[in-house]
Amino acid sequence: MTDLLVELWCEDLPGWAQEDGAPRLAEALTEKLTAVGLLNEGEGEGAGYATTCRVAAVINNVRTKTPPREEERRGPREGAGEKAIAGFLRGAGLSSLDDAELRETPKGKFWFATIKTAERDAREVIPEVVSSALKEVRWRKSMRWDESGFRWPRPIRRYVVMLGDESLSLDDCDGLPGMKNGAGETILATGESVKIPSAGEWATTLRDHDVEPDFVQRREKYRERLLAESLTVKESLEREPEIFEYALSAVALAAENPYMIALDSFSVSDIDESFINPILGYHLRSVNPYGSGCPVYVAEKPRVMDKTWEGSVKRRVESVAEARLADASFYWKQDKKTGIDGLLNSLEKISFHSRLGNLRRRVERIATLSRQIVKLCDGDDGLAELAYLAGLYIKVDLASGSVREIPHLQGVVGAKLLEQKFKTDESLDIEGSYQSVICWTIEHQYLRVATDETQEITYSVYLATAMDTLVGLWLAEGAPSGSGDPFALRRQCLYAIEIIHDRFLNKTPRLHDLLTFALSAYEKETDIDTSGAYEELTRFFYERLEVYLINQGMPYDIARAAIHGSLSQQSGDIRLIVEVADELKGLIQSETGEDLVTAYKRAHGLAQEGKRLKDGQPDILAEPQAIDLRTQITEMQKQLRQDTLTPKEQIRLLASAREPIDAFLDNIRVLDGPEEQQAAKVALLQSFVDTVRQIADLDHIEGGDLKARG
Amino acid sequence: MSDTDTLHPAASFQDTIAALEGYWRARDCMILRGYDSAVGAGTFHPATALYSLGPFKEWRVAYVQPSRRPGDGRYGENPNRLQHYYQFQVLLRPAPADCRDLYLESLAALGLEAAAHDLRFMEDDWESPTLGAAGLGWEVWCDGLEISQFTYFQQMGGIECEVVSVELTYGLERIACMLQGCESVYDLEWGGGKKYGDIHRRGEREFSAYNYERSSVELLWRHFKDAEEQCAELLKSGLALPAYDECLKASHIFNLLDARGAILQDERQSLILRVRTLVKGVCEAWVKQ
Repeated sequence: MTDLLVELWCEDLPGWAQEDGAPRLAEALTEKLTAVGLLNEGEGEGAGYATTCRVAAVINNVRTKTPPREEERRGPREGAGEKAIAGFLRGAGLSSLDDAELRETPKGKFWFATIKTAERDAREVIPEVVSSALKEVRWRKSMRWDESGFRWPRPIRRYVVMLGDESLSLDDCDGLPGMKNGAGETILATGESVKIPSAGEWATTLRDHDVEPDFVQRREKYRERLLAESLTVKESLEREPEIFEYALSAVALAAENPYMIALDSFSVSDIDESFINPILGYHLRSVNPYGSGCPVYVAEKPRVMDKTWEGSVKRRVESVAEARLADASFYWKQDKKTGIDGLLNSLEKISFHSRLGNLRRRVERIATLSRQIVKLCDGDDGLAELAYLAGLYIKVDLASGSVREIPHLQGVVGAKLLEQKFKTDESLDIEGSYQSVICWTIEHQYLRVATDETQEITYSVYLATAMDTLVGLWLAEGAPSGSGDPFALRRQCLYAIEIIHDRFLNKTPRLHDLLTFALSAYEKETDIDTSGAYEELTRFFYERLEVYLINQGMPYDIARAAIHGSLSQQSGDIRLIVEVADELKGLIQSETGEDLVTAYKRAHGLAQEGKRLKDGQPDILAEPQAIDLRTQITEMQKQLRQDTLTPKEQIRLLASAREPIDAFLDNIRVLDGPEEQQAAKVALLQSFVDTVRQIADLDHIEGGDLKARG
Repeated sequence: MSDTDTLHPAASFQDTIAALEGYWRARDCMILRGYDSAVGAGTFHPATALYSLGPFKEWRVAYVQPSRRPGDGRYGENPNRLQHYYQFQVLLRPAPADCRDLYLESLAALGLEAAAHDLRFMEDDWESPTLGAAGLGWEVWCDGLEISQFTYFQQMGGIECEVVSVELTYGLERIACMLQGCESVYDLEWGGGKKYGDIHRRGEREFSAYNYERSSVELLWRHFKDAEEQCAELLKSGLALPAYDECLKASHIFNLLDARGAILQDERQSLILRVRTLVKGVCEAWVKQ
């Protein structure tokens, strides 16, 4: 056993390509090595790595030879045509049918060939394996750069493939781009060449040169460094963990050996301090692990750190920053002069969509829907009015010069202008803490986060915005189809589901109400025909809910079964459906659940088979198992009618049906006896199926080992 | 002795240009002149936009392209924002394997040594909606300042590039400011004893006034429609180059209308699409011939 290293030196890789590339290359290699027998299933350990200039994988426990193999291949039927025979012989590497065997099978006589493959040296096989693995790695975005037509996120210029301490060549592989064989020598981002002693020592060799090739560890290295550095970092981490974590990833992906330069001296007046980080984040891709006011520029650490290097780079970066801030200051002055209500009025001049009116109308709709959502969540009138106000100003800065110039200021400019209005407009009688909640909501709309204090108002407004976009563009442009979703309505819907399910502290709004309110706004304001839209949008939401649940690790058939329970659909309560799915998963993966699904499917099958038998009267059945089942169904229906069952109770009720249905099916022959009796038994089973379906539609549950599914 | 040894790229704007021309001439590039029509960037020059599609399998050119972006004017008051500026453009078809090194060497030839700066290639997948063009590549930063764009063309005029070219675009004013240590572009030494501001500040003032205040929206719309109609007419006769000139006019008028705030949000997409349709027609006619 030995180790395999595949390293691809690429022209500067974007962050996403580093994050995706490392695991994907390791997975593709592991799969291919296992397929040729160089790795035992489940025994090989592969680790993916990436920096700005490399994607690499090291696979441990690779065999030095492929095992000899014997594979049997079935060919055509006896007497098949010449073409079929020739294809079979060619595929199996045989010269004539004399080398094949004619064998009797339950379907007739067929030709069989035994293909024997001798063991092969791994050094001979690995170039083929690497070549085919590289061609199969899939990327969200890729490019061509030479005549090979090979695609990768950025050009690969050099490679190192090592088995143990031996360097291998890919030069004879077809379909790969022109690349230089590094022959056991890698290159750092700074241009320095480094000799790799062996595949297994690749990562430590890089670490010895101050390069951490593993993204997660690189991230942790900078976390430690930042936390050790100052108290403000710890405070920032506690106050805004998401921003800190984002900053950490940005540092780790920005350079192979990131060197952080804190920027601290700006001589720009008349610009709000809170603008500095978004502006510099946009123009300099700076990050802000220290909280407000002290952005960090991430540079590539030079090979030789001249003592003047940091100072001169910092000075020049700050001068770039100052020019950018000066430009922003020009626009900010203009926006302040116009004021928030001036900008609100100018939203009338900005079209949202030619069929849906201007942005001014849109914010009115968002504001009204925000107010309605707060009330749906049992919020009082005061909170509802605050949500209305936040909704009204949520998009106001789209009319500002600052945002047109620096899109990263979206939200920040609106919040700051509203803060000024609160200070100067005495007609607004809003308590200080609520002013902050409204400004927070506007400022953080693109980060989509809230604090505990702002939760109900903030998420009501975010949900109203998402619903208005989704419903409006659906009406104007139609439903997304296949790969065509130019307005990202699927993503918008998932976001709405996430808020409905997960973000409200207390009561959550029901889907039916949300759709009714959102649609009625468009019915009043536009001439778009909304007939059928409610049903289509409801269906769309449930399709996306299935995706949402699958993304959270729910098996798709269980998700579907829970969503299609008629009680769930009637309730329109997303949170309840998710809970039902969770409970159902627990039941389905138990022995009771497995038996119940089997019994349900048998019952459904028999009821279908006996469909011709009409008007059965289950009351006439005298067998004790029939009476027990009837009693059970009556009890279930009674409880389900009460409409107060929790998801746990619903599923418990479902589980309680297992014994009587098992007993019925085990002891009674359904499609046997007088027709009147048969009809009664079919009607009883149909009643059982209908009752179960109120909780979950078990038709969707697929077979297989239910317990093993996670 | 190389072509650049006799020059001092930091001495003046014209020497910076001459140094780049010398560097690329020595690397088998033809040195062309900027195109004689108002364009937003060097990419619009037919030597890039059309010749990146063929007919020559090998095509290496470099030129300075005066460029206009009406919405970037600041009446000559902002030290770094201009509505008229210069791009140095290189197109290498096919993209050579060492194009990254060639580019870094060109910066070194100007005096921007990698070791003394933080030179970074930041992801920037370029797209020109009006040209129907797209490419993958980077903005190149020198100490946080974007000085170049480095793009592998994938598509032009909606047509997949059979041979992938690499386009290198140098922001001449920014590079010259770094070399000369100027805070304001207007303080740059142009050469011949004159500053950049002596030559261009008045233009910035007057064109900002034209772009933002004085241009007639009504006339601009008329010119846009005229250019569109003329282009469509010329395409019927297969006259790709004159038709392309009309595309360039339409594209520049679109930018002027935009700077005047005369384009509504959803109108924008349809106008871009109209220009792109023209360019697509031109590129198809170009490739066909």
